[in-house]
Amino acid sequence: MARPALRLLKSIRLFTSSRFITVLGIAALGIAAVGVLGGCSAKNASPSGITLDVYATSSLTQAFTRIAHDFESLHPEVKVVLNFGGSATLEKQISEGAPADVVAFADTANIVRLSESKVVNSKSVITFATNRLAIIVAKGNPKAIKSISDLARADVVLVLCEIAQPCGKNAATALERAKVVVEPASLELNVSGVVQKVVSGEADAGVAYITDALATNSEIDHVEIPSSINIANLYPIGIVSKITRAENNAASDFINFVVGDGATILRKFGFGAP
Amino acid sequence: MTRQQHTLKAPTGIALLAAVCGVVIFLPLGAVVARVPWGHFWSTLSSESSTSAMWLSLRTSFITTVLAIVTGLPLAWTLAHREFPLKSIVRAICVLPMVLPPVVGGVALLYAFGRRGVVGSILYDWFNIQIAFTQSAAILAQYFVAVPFFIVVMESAFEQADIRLTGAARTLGARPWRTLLHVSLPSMKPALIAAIALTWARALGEFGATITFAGNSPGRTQTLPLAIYGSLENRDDGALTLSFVMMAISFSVLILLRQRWLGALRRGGV
Repeated sequence: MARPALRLLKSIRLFTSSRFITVLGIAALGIAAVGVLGGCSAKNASPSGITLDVYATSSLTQAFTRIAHDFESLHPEVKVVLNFGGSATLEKQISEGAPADVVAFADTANIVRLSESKVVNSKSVITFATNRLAIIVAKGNPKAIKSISDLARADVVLVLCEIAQPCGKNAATALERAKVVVEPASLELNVSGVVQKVVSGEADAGVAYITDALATNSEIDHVEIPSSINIANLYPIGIVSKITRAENNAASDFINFVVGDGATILRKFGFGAP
Repeated sequence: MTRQQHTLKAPTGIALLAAVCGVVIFLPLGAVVARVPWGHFWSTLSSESSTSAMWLSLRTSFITTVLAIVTGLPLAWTLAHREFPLKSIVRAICVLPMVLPPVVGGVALLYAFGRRGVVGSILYDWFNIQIAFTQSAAILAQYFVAVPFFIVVMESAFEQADIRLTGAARTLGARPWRTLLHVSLPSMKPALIAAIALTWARALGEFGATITFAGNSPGRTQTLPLAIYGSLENRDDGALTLSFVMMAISFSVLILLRQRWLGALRRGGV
C-alpha cells in the first residue's frame, strides 16, 4: 500500500521540480505562440481546397447559412466560413485587417467606405437584396397596434435601434414621414436587441426588419409599415482586395451564386429583389 | 520583522514568463491610449451623451457597491460562520454569476424580474411597475454580476480571521453587531478594501447583463460600457475617448484603494 504511494509522490516531485515547470512553461508558451500566430495562416490549411471567409451582417444569418451550404455542395473544393455581426462591427474588423474574402452588409455606407479605402475592390460591389422595416409586436398583438401612429401611445413600451444603426436611422425617417413623435424606452445597439426585448415581453413593440419578423414568427407577430413611408435597405456584397487569385475566383463564384440560385433562398427569408 | 534581509533568488525563466504576461496585458491598453484622438478629447468628453453616461456609471456602480456591502457582507458572514444543510451548494450558486456569461445573467434577470418573470410579473400585474429600462434595472444587473466577488473575498476573510479577537470582544460584553462592525471588520480591512475594489470595478465594467436586461436608455441605463459600444458601432472617436476615461477612473480608484490597503497592511491591519 505504502510503496506505490511513495512512488506516486516521487513522480509528483519530479513534475513539480522547478526545472520541469520552467521547461513546461516555455513549451506551453511556444505552443501558445504557434497557436496565436498560426491562426492567421490557418485559412490556407486545407491542402486541396480553398477556404472562403464570408463576413455578413447579422440579418443574413439564416439565409447565408443555407446559401453557403448549397454553394459548398456545388463547389466541393471551396469551404465557406461564415462570420456574422453588426455591419459596423464587421466594417471595423475588416478595416483592421480581419481575414475576410467576401463582405455583405445591410447598408451601402459601410461598403462605400471600405471601397474608398481600397480594402474592398469597388468593381466587385453589387446590390443583391433589399429589406424593409416592420413593426414587431407580441404574439397575438395584445396591445392592438394597427399602425405606426400607435407607437406613440402612452401604454405602449417601444424599443428602437440606435439612430446610428441603419435600422434606427430608417425607423426615425419612417416616424418622421408619418408625423409620429415617440418616446422609446430603449435605443438598442442592434436589431437583435429590439427583437429580444419584444420576444422577452419587456417591450410591447419594436421597429425591426421584416426578415427578423419572419425569422421569429413563432414568437412574435408583425404589422407592416406602408411603402410610402418605409425605406428599403440595400444589401451590398463585395470582394476584399488583398486576397489570392484562387480566393478571388471562389469569391466571384460565391457572389454569382448569391445573385443566382441564392435569390430564391433570400426571398424565402423575406428579402426583396434588388 | 526579518523580511527582506536577503534578496530572493528568482527561479530560472520566471522573468521571461512574467514579461509575457505583462506584455499581453499592457500592449492592448497602451494601444488604446496611443489611438485616443487627443485633438477633440475635451469636446467628446463634455458632450451631453458622454457626461450623462459617465455620471450614470459612477452613480449606479456606487449604489451597487453599497448594496453589495450591506447585503453581501451578511451573506459572507453566514457562509463563513454558520453550518446549514447544502451549504456547499449554496456557496457555489452564490458565486455562479462570476463564471456565467453576463448575457446569460441578463436573460436570467429577465426570467426573474422581467414583466413575465417570477417576481417581475407580480410587480407588473399588481402595481404596474416595470423594472427593465430603468436605472434600477442597470443597478440590478451590476449587482448580480458583481456581488459574488464581494462574497468570495469576504467569506475567506471571515474564515481566516482571528477568532480570539471576536471572542475577546464578546467576553468584554460587545453585542454581535458591535463585534462585527467594530472588531471583526476593522481587523480585515485589507480584504474589505480588496472586495470593494473588485466589486466596484466589475460593476463599472458591466455590459452584457445590462444591455440584455436593462436596455440602452440614455440617462437611465446607458452606462459607459454601453456608450462605448454604441460609439464603436457609430464609428466615431467617442469609443476611444470614453474607454480611456474609463481606464483612467478605474486606474485611479484602484491605485487609491491599493495604497490605503497597503497602508493598512503596514500598520499591521491583518
